[in-house]
Amino acid sequence: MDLPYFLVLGVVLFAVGIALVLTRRNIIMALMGVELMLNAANINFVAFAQYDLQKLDGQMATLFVMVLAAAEIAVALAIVLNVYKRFRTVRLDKLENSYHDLA
Amino acid sequence: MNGYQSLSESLPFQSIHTWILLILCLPFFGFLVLRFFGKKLPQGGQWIAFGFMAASFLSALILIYEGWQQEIGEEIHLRMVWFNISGPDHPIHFTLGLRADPSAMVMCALVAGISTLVLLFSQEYMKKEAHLDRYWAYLCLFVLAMQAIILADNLILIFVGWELVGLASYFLIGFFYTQEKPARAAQKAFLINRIGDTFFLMGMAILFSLTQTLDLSALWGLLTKGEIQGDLFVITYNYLSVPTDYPIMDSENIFVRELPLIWLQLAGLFIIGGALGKSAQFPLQTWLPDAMAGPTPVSSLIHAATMVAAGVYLVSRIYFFLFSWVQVTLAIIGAVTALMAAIAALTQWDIKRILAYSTISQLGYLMMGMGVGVYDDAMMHLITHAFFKCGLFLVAAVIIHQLHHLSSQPQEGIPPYNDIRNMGGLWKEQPILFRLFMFMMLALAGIPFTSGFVSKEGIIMGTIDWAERLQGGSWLIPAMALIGVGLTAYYMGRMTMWVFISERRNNVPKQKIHWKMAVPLFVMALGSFWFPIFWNPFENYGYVSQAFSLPIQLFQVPPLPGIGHHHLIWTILSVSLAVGGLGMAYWHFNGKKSKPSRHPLQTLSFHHFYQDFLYEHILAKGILVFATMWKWIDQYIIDGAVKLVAMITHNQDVPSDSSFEPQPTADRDALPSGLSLARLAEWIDVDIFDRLVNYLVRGIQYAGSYVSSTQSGNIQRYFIGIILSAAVIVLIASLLV
Repeated sequence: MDLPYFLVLGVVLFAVGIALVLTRRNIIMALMGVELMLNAANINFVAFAQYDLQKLDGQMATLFVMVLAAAEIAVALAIVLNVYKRFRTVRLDKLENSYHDLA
Repeated sequence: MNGYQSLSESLPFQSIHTWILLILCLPFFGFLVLRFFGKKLPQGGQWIAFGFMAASFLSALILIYEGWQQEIGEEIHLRMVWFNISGPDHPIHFTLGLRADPSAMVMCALVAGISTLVLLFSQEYMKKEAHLDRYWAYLCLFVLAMQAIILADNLILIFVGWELVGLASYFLIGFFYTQEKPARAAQKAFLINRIGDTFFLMGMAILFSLTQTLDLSALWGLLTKGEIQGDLFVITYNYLSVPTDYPIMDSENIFVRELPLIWLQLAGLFIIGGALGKSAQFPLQTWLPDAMAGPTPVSSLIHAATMVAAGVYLVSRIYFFLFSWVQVTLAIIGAVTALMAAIAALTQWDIKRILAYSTISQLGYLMMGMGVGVYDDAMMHLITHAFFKCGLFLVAAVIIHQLHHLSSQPQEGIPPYNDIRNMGGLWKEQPILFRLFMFMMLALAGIPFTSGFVSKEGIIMGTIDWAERLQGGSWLIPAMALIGVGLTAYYMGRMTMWVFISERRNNVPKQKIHWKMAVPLFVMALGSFWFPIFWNPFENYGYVSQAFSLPIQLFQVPPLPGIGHHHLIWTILSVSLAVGGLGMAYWHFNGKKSKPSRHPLQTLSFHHFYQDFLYEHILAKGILVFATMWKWIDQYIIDGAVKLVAMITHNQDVPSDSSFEPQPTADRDALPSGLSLARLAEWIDVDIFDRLVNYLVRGIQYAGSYVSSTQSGNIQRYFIGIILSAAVIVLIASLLV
């Protein structure tokens, strides 16, 4: 398969991820954006792995990233849960006010 | 399994492979369509589900028809290379493939056929429930996963299907997720199955590290080339017998691999551990009775006929490399499970729990059969059991459906419409239902001229042959099997008496059975006779049993010639036990009023030897106590040690028997003169390092207070900062390069 297709897909995914993180007011959606960005990176890894059929380091790195992403999202969701328990909201703009109240 | 081809190349696609793919793809399309568009379809798209399933069944039949015409030794095998990685000394090929050997073809048709019938039955049974699209979709998912287990040619793909059936089972047990009981039962089933799956995964890992492949035909090809030498399993092969997937160890193209025997044995044992979870065998069987909280047609399809048999099927797939002691373990576990569950079924009041324990008990027989080496009889019992047990559950579903509006108080937590104390008199009310039930009940009890008799007889004769070979304590296994036969007949007789024969104990008006419910029942009852499956009502021989010829076992002593003849005396004994059990039940329960079970042994049986109680209060509590203990050790011993060290180093009090007085530490001149080095060190510490640190701290404070003004608390602003800095770094890097 041609490399550019994968790269373009990766770029699009990454851009969508950034847009999600920057614009959404819901923490969960922002986290989804982070996941999308991770997966965009994964696509690049896999795409480039076709030039290394013997060791497949790219695919290994992808698996590693997947595990990492799972761990990361577990921690992040735990934090979100605690934030919600404390502030009763998961909206980033509301949290900003709470942050200033705390400080 | 004879033609072993290199894993490095895909096998060519032949026209017959279309049918295999269709068997798998049709339920998958059904799942996709129903999951995405089911909500908009009438009744959740029940006819779409039925259509896809019926088409899948048709493909399975065509596959059998075409497969039977193939030459012996020629196999239907579709395989493609998934990916390759370089191993330590040679490339490792991962393949995905589907293989339809005769036993897989028969199982495929069985699963597809029974699920088609159960789908038809469910249309009437579930008619009034909400969210039916989920129900149909997950049934399709289940069938897809089950067919994947059956057709997969390697253990990885089997494991994928294995987890998917667990998932579908979880969704379907918890279909009434708004009620607490089904939701909890679903979780329990899922979690207990995970224990078994962990063993399965460990077994696969061991096997993979030994042989670098999990492809079943490759394993077969590799393991047949070896022999046992002491505690090693030595495989010797050359270019001609095995292609170059494996390393060259010798210049003359003879390859030698040495595998430690014990690990090969453990691999088999651990994979069987997975089968124990799925097939509800001791000690992991506690999930199955609770799983009855799901809709009854689901119990009949998944938890009686097909999914729970997947464990037995897995054992049949890895049968060729099981060692004798692993098989003995399997036989013991099967016998214990069969007997325990049969005893538990004696005192249940919930009609579905009686059948659930009976299922566990019969699965115990299957495992026992696998353990004592009557592979073909065990597989045949799987088939016959699928028919009559599915049928029995469907009969229970019909009765539950009719009683569904019964509004009496639940006793002992059993819903009134499931309670056999609220049934009775159906003999006169529903004579056709009664007759259908009786055919299947007699098949379960093992009365001659039923299908269950032939296959169960095969297993029991197998245990007797096996015990004759081993002698001594091994006679316990046939003894347990025979006691189980008597108990099976007794609890089924008890259920018949309570449900059908005793006087009527409810005032629900007589209802007609809808044709959608009647058709599956008739088919299942037909399957309980010997003639659709066997040619001779006393011998396991027929169209279907040809599919289950005994595979060659690599690590077994071949059975002695002369043993394996038909023991008439044993047959008479087991039949008379079955008849005696039925008679006892009739004598016990004829005209009996409902009375609560009070005898301690009855309570023991009702609670299944308190196994759940033990798990909850000993195992779970034990783990909690263990965790608390470690918490305590962490808190007091490890933290305590740290605190002690801190105390020792921090406390500058000098012991009172020394020659000088304790001094305030701030006064450095008051330190004893013998400690000048310490004083010097203190001076350096206080006047140089501390000041340096202080300046540093102050600097950092200023910097920090400056930087912290950017900490607005707006995460997205931070993120813009991160992205911009990353962009700047990339820009600089690209300029430098």
